[in-house]
Amino acid sequence: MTLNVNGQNMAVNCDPSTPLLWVLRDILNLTGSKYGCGVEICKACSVWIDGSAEKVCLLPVKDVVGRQIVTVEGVSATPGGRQIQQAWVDKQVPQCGFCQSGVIMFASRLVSGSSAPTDAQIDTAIRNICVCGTYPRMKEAIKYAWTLKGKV
Amino acid sequence: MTVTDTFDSPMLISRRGLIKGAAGALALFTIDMSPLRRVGSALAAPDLVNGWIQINADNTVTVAFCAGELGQGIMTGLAQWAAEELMVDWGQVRAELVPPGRTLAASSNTDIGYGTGGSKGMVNRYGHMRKAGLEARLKLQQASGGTAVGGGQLQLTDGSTQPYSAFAAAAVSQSVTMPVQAAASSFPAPFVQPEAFKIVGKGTDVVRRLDIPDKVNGKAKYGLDVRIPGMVYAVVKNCPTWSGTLDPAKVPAPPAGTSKVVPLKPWVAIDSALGLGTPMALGPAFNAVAVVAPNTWIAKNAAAALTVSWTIPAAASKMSSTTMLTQAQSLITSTTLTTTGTSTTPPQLITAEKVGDAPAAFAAAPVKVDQYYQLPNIPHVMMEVPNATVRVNADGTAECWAPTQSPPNARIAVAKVLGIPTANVTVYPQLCGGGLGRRIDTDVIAQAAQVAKAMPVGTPVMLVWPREEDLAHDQPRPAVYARAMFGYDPATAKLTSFNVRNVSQSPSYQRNPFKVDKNTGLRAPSADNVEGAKNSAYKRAVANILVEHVLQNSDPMTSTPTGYWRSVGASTMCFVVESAMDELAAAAGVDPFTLRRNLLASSTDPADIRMVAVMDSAKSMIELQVLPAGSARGYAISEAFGTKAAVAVEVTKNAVDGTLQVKRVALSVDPGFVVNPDQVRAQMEGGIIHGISSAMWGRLVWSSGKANSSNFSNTRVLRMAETPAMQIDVRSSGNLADIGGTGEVPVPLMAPAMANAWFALTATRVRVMPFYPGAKMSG
Repeated sequence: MTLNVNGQNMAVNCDPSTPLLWVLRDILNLTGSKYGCGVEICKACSVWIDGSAEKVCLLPVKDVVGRQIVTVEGVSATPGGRQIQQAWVDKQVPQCGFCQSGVIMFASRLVSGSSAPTDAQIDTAIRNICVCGTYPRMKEAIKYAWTLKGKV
Repeated sequence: MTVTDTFDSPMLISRRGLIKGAAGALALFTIDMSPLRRVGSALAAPDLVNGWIQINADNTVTVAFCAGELGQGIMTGLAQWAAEELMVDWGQVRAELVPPGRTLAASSNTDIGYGTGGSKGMVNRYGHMRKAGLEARLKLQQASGGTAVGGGQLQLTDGSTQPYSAFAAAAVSQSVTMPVQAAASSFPAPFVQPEAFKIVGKGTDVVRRLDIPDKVNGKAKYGLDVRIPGMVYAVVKNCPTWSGTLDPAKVPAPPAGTSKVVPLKPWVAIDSALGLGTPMALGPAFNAVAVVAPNTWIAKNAAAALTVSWTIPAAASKMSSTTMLTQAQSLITSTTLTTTGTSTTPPQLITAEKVGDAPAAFAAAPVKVDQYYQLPNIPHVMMEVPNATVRVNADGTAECWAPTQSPPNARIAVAKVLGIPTANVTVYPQLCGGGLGRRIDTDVIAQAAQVAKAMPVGTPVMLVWPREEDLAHDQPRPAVYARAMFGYDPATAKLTSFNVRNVSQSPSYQRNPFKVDKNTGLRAPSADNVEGAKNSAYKRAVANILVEHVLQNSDPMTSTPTGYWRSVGASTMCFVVESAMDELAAAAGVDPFTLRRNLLASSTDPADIRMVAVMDSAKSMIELQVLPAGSARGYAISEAFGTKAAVAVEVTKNAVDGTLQVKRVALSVDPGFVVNPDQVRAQMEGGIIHGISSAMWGRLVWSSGKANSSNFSNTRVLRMAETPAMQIDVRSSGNLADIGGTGEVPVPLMAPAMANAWFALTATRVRVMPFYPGAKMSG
């Protein structure tokens, strides 16, 4: 199979029912996307599939052939990704950091609009689990990231 | 051997050759601008000025770290001290996780590896970092004949300015005299004096965490991210039932797609030979298997589907949280508990703190409270599941890459399992996706070493615990059944009797039952379960104190596992003490905040003055907004971990289902001395959330010998939308002698403050945690 990951075509040889998360982590050694639960609850595994943030711990790799996959390793190629990454550093968001890749994939979709995301919109969009409890900083950083539009 | 994928083998090669890397291993990393250095071997001529500090060719400096960076920021915090004394700019600072076993040069002579826990990382280690930084500075000055002038520069006698890097090689062999310290917290010149601090105590305009950039770009490597050529993946299947075993003749054959099924023994405290550090060793019987495959997915599915013929003892089906609670309820009022042990059995009743005559004072008290409180086992739930990677080499050495809270203990575990000298084991500590006390244990590392031993020599094996295994086989916070008997005299507004009895299992006894009293030779368990009742915030305000621990079965071979869970004894005792204080206030007809404040406010003891200050601060912050209709407030205080903390919570009833909802939290913390104010704030924010999750839903239940937790589906934690608004006040006297910890501080405060607020709102007193057991969670 050929997968398009972060703009590159990559040849992958595995059981086509292998979830994309494990293809990324164990076969392509792109370990930025994380395993947190394996049952599509925590969202630490989230990547973009054709621009939409999706959980991929149970998504068979055969279903993403021919689609554009972007992981946290590639999100800085987009303005929203760069805004969020800069904001995450400026606001010192992560603690252990294990959940953050998945959050960044969702958050990066919130900061390119013509108006700043509201608390309610952020609450609805960010349902990732963070056991360290960095939610307050995530929320502040997302709102701040919107102000970085065009600046990073 | 070349590494062809994104693996790095972080190490610093000392001039004394103490650390040997895997022969020829070079990491194919470019040295990027990340402040978290991950490559040691790529440096051409590393100049290790002392055991801690390396001056790099580009005049950056790398500070070594050998403990658990769990997200609490300790790697950065300790590097701040080293950088301050070394007199470099923060922008020049890098940090690197390094193997344990290297001793410091010259002055300190201490193994740089240590165990992370007890919120002691800063308290116990800042002195080492100051000495390391100063020693390096003095060596550089001596080597150059010049004077450090800041920014990693030396002014030489000819007036020129040179970077440290120009003299790093010459500095290594210098012998310098360090200043004498009258006390551990005394740092006379030439240590940098507080008024001149440029890095310690500064905010994010000056100091940012060294590990954060890599945590936002996917480059941060956790234990689960280690990748080594030839590595295979092993997934564990622990016996589902407590105390079950596996007959080695019944190890299943490897299923299709997998290469091996390896039986595993547990890591238990059965080595009674004292003086060898840890009494841990492999247990006598197998109780788990690992399924080995080319990737985690294959191994995970195969392990889950594997049929294993376990041998389950009859007693297992009788083991349950309910039976343990029934036993605790009987023990708590028993008058025939043994108070001395033998050389092979512990006492049942341990007196942890005794001042005056608390029972007599209670009997005579005009107002009193006598109540029972119940808290459950709670699993840790780190975001990164337990894992460890081990490789046994042909030359008799071994390596271990693991997220660990104790690199030295990890090293001992690998050595013992493999039967090789500890000196032959190199542990590469990895970033931890959470620790929470779970990763201080080396049971998973001992399992990984067993798998590596069963594979062909030179095969790196990563052992992974899927989430289901992690939750069902956690070493949870002990369940506690406790009684508080408090007496109060309204006429004097004084607490007259403070009496707490805690019935629970002891994680420390399970990990070293062989500890005996030096004088009597009798078993002497520690009473760490009662911290928070022992050393309570009221201890200076009451003349009669009795804090006792009744030890439920903690024999490592026959008891259900328990472990160290963030805030340990305080996680339960603060709930008991602060709930009972509110109940006492209700009995006395006094406002709960006022009752507490009056106990402490007339004291001239600086500790009480600091405690009253944080209480007043929390109250002021919560009162900045008018209390909305349908809401109520509750308070809790603590001085666990050497830090004064007070919280005020504002709760309401959820409009949809009537459950408790925390709307606002105001927390004031005084850790005595603040090294990194933003990180202290972050720990408060996170600990509040952790404490709320645990109070609302945290519970692991044993029934018929099985734990019922399996995934987030039945292990609910707070999400962003449920997070309250927070006001955090970080304050300190700036007196290093007062420095306390922060990582665990907020967690114990939440349950009692919530229960107290809930009582104010509903007149219902909740004495059994969690508020809502059995809660579910979905995607």
